Amino acid sequence: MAAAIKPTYTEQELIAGCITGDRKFQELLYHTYSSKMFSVCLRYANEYSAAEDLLQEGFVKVFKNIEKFRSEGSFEGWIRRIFVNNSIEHFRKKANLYVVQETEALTYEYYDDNALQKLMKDDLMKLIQSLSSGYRTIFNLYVIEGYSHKEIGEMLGVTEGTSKSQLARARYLLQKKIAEQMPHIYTAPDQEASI
Amino acid sequence: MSDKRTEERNEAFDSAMREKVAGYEPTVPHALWNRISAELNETEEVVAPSIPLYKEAAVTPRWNMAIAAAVIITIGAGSLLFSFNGNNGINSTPTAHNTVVNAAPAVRIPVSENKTVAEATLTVSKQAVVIAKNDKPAKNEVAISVKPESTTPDNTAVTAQSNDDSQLASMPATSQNNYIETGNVPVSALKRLSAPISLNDEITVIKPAPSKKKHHKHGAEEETTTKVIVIGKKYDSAPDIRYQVPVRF
Repeated sequence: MAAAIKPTYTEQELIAGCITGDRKFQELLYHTYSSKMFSVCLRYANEYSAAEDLLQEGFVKVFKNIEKFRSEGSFEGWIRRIFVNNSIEHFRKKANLYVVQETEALTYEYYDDNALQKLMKDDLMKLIQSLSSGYRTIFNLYVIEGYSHKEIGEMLGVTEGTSKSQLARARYLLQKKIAEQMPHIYTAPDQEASI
Repeated sequence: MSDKRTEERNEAFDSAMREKVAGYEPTVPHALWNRISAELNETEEVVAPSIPLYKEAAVTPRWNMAIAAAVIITIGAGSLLFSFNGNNGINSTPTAHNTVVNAAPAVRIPVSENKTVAEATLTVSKQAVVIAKNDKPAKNEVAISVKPESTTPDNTAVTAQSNDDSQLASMPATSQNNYIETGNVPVSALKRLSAPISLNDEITVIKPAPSKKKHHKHGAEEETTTKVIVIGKKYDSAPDIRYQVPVRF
């Protein structure tokens, strides 16, 4: 989509056009960032259609609040935060944090890095989506977005310990799923670690 | 597996995941922009009606004010017309400083000679000179009901004191004229009076000579002087501004 329209406007011109509500500029902005933001939405959603909804909601919020952008950071970073925050709102509505034993040092013993390298990105997204919303959200916030456990705890209203435990469990499950996805890379033993 | 080694492996896993996800740009559904655009249109349509509502709220009081202003103007104009044309109320003690400048043309009201009217004796309390200026439009005029001095010997009026035009119109004719004139005696000179004009006052009405142009055309005409006695005074609802008293010469 982004390649279909080659915007000849600078980022500032694009933003200024969107502030005026010009649909042409809004469409250009959408095509510029929609693919990257759809990637964000796919990571936070549990299925493809839900990711579409997140993308739609996110862009509507971007266009409604674009005049608040102060050019203090990158525009893409500002848009990304809107999409992440929008996804977190959905997490709060459907909060589903499994009660897990508090542990940070947890890893799937039979995971191999080669499996991840050879895994297709689309398949990896599906594996992330297959996690429960609590695991998926904390994994995305910590591993991909780079938030600390303290920040995650404040954002989601949980303790740091809960965030760490959920992350450890999410990481363990992903490693296991990846190993299972790529059996020719590494064959996991029949016995599974208790989750 | 030690905690340290687990931590290292986790960090390596996290880093690999970040790299794997970083460059991922999936194909966006083609129709998604249409959905976003439609939602933006809906949002704008919902917001739009607030503008006319605000304007309407601002305009409505103006209409009310315009209507109220029109009613006030109508009432004011009506009352002004009424006060200029009508004879309302009775002033018992008009004062000299309530000055009237100009006079209105006198109106002749024929009166039957045989009509009997009760007579009353009037006492002249003071004398005054009133200069008539009939050639100017009436404005803030004082009109005084008077009777010719010659017809009222011994200060006896030929009619009862009257306070309205209908009763004045029923006054009997005098020996000098066969009709009663009611009108507005211009009393611009009243401002020069030291005392107020009241009922039964004897005043002299001096009708100024016509203008010079008229004088040349119609021959010599001198000013006329008539001594009259005030037998009634009328004024409207604003006595400080305007008096109107029927007058009879």
